[in-house]
Amino acid sequence: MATMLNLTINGKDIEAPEGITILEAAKREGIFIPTLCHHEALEPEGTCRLCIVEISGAIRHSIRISCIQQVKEGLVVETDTERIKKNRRLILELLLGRSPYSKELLDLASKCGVMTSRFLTGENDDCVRCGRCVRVCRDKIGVHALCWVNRGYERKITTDFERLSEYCIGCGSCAQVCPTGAIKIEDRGNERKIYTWGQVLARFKLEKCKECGRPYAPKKYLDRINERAYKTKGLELVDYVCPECVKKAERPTPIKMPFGGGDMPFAI
Amino acid sequence: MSKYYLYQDTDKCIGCHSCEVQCKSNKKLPVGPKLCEVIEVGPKLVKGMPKAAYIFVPCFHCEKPWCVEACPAGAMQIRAKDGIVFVNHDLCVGCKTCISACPWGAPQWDPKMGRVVKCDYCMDRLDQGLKPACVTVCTTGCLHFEKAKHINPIKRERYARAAAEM
Repeated sequence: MATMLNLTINGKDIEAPEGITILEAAKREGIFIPTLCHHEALEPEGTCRLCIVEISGAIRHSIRISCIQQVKEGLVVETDTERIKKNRRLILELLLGRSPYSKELLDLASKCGVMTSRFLTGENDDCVRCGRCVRVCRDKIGVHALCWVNRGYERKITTDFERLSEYCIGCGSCAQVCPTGAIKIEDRGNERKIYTWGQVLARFKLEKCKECGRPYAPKKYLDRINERAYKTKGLELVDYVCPECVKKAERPTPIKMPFGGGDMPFAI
Repeated sequence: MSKYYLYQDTDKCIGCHSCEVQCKSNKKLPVGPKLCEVIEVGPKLVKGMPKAAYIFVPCFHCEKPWCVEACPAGAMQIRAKDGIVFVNHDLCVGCKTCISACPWGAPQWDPKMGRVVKCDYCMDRLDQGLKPACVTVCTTGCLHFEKAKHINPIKRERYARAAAEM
């Protein structure tokens, strides 16, 4: 059991277990702090800077980002002071400079009272450089297909040598976790394409479902499933059947049904 | 393996799909994902009579779940207390490997939330001492939910009756 720490957020005394961040503590209390780069499943990286809060008490009075700052005994946190609002508006304006049409960013901007940006660049790249995709690919999927290149304003997400990725397995997690939908995944015909603004990251030929003939998943992706879930049981995923057909009763199952395939096994 | 047992009395099921409806409304799911599904097999001619079977397919809550092994993010978990396999939505990154890994198609994709959803025997209801949503509304009472140690004697009784008629 983690030790509970006492802190104050927006004048409200709360208890939070040691080791969690201010953002998580605020979320538990139902206090909204805007953020783009934070995802519960991923390690925080603090790239979007939107979750800034004003801190005093246990640490010297300063502005910190709440997704990285851990809770401390006696911490006093303010999430909505004038100083914070002003800084947050500036950050939003800077983010909008490159992504003026991103729906998620515009929603957040209107919530925080930003109507227009002083820093419009004429670009229309929805990517806000939050790095969620890089983190999910590196830390969760573990394939390191995406990486950062360049520095400062030139910083962007791409694949190795900006070519079609050899390592990508085509799972589409990067597209799923992207807060602004800048990375897109598209299945057209028997090809899957993962692309971002101005670059195709990966292309795959899709394997066909044995039952309905619909192309549904890349070979690399199925190989990975085979390795992780089937080979550990001494089985082999040989029949590629799409998730829609897999429930159909007439299909010969790729694995042996327990109990000789007689009654439906409800407690395997 | 979960310590519960969800038994469908296939002879009684009329395929009304009310379990599916209740499941979806309980979990507030959009169009698309079905955590449990009644699958119609047939109709086939059996002794000159057309017959159809309705098989209720929820998640089976395996001992060594395919989905848990496939999940790279640790979102698919087994509840240590009773062996229920569930998904922690906060940790799901949407790679869908669990969906392709499951031989029975139990994990489903929720397009609205952008995360995987899956049957968890209505864990929250179980903790309150209630039964899963699908079981509570079954019109013919063909779904039974019990702890595995109190297995329903329906099958034995029916077999005994059939044997006695001979």
